[in-house]
Amino acid sequence: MSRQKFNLDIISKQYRRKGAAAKAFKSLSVLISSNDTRNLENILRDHKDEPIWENYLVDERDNIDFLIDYYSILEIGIIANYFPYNLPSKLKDEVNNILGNDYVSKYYSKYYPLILPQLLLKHISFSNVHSSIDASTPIQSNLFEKFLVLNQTIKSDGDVDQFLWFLDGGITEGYSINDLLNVLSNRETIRYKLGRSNTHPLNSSLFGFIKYIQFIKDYADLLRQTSEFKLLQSSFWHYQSYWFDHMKVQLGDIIKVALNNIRKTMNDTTQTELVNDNNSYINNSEDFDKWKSSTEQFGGIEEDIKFLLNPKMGDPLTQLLNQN
Amino acid sequence: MSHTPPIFINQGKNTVGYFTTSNPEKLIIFVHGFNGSATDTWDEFPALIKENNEYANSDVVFYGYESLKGQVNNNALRFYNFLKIIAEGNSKRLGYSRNNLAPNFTYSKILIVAHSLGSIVVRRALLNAKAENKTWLLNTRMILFAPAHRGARIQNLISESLPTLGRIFAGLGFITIPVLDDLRPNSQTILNLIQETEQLIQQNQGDFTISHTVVWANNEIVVHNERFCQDPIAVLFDNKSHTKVCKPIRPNFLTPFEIVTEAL
Repeated sequence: MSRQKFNLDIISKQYRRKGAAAKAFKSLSVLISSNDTRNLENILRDHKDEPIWENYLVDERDNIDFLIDYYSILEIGIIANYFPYNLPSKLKDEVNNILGNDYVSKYYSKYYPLILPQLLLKHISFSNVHSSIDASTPIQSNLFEKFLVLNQTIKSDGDVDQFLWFLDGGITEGYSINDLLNVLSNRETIRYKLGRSNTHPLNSSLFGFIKYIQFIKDYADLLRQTSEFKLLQSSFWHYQSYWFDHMKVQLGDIIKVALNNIRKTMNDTTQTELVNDNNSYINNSEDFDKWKSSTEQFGGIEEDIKFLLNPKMGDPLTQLLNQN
Repeated sequence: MSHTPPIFINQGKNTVGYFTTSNPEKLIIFVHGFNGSATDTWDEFPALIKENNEYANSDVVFYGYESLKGQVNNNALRFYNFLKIIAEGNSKRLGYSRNNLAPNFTYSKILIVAHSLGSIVVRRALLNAKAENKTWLLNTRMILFAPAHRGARIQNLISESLPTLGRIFAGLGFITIPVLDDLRPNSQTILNLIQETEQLIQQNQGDFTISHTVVWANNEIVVHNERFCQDPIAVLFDNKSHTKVCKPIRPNFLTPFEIVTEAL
């Protein structure tokens, strides 16, 4: 077996042949083969037309998102030359059957537009789409594996989930993103609300905020390392396009407000308060001064966010999709 | 083609395995430190391993754990449970199955490489293994980079190892990080670790507690560079800080990689 086929087999085992994606594949295959258009339309509807309130539908759509996620990874892996350019015929048939279905197609092209699955379907249908891809190099393999590992860190993290849920307008136990922003601006509020529990939604979202900002930095670094390979860089960017494109205003604004609120809280807090606080690690003026200077690094965070929210990063892939 | 693509293992946190495509003989496990991550802590190690023939018969796992939440002994217990699975021939449960392995397969050697807080996690896990008389301990070696097993300077640890927001929130007292208490030089966790190790060495049962290699950073300001029980004299890396000492970077700093390769 060639290296690329071996890579495809191992990655497909993890992302497609088990768990949520496997469930979605099974249920969509049944609905498509039985031409059950009523259920396909219902499951894959735009939530703006009719909200999704049924629990089973939420689960079903989550599973479908995992399946589409796998197809996106497939496309990126082809661009990275990590997977074979000519996919096995069984997989091509699967992609055609699922992504080529009218209702599924509307879901990822119109209601929740994603370039990567659209490009994969085009690639399957017109085999010269990726003729510009260079021969595989170890560097692109390393970058692709870094991409997989980095995305995995936030896929399986409850704290990041909580933060992103708030960012997306979600509410947990009556708390929302506004509560998180409020507590960041008022030290006494957060201490009153949090107590000592690391499982409190606000506390979890605080940890999630720390981790997501770290992810932003690491993702920006990955994209900078990929600058030589414009298509691959663009595909990495599109993989996170829900946050970097669709939600870019919310993401940018909320982080800006959060950083300003943190600055305010730091300015309002005295050295004596922190030295007398058993929860704080600050013991003296040296610790306090060093801690205060942490805000100087906000510039780096803001720069990474500006870099990632630049829509031009998505252009190479969008242009490829729009080529005849 | 020496190793698999990354296999995401449902143990610890974001644990990643690269399994050999040849016959597995040895197992190497990397364990990060405070606020580290399964692979990032080790920088170019994954790429170097895959390109080097000397690792052709080694399975390699980058173990991750939630270092900011929970006590160190809890993380050690989880790591021990993972070790039991992988060392006792149940690697199928880790998400990668090989048909060519004998049903009674075990590794001939297990090399555990740890950084900073990871050294405490590993030492405690191995003491647990000793308490349950695990035979694979006889084939297990440790390499420790900037180990925190004699304690850390908490303020420096926070300023060196936590990201900006974590540092700010910890300063404001917004977040509680229990492991910081465990890392103080006179914490019960560290005192117990030393006492139990000394007892085993006195009873001539503590060979597994003696590291194969210990590496200290010359620019260390986080952990206390003190010898642990019967460990060998440390190797000192010049011009390296606490966080950089375990990161090989091509072409000029391959010593961490060479140390691990030599111990295979």
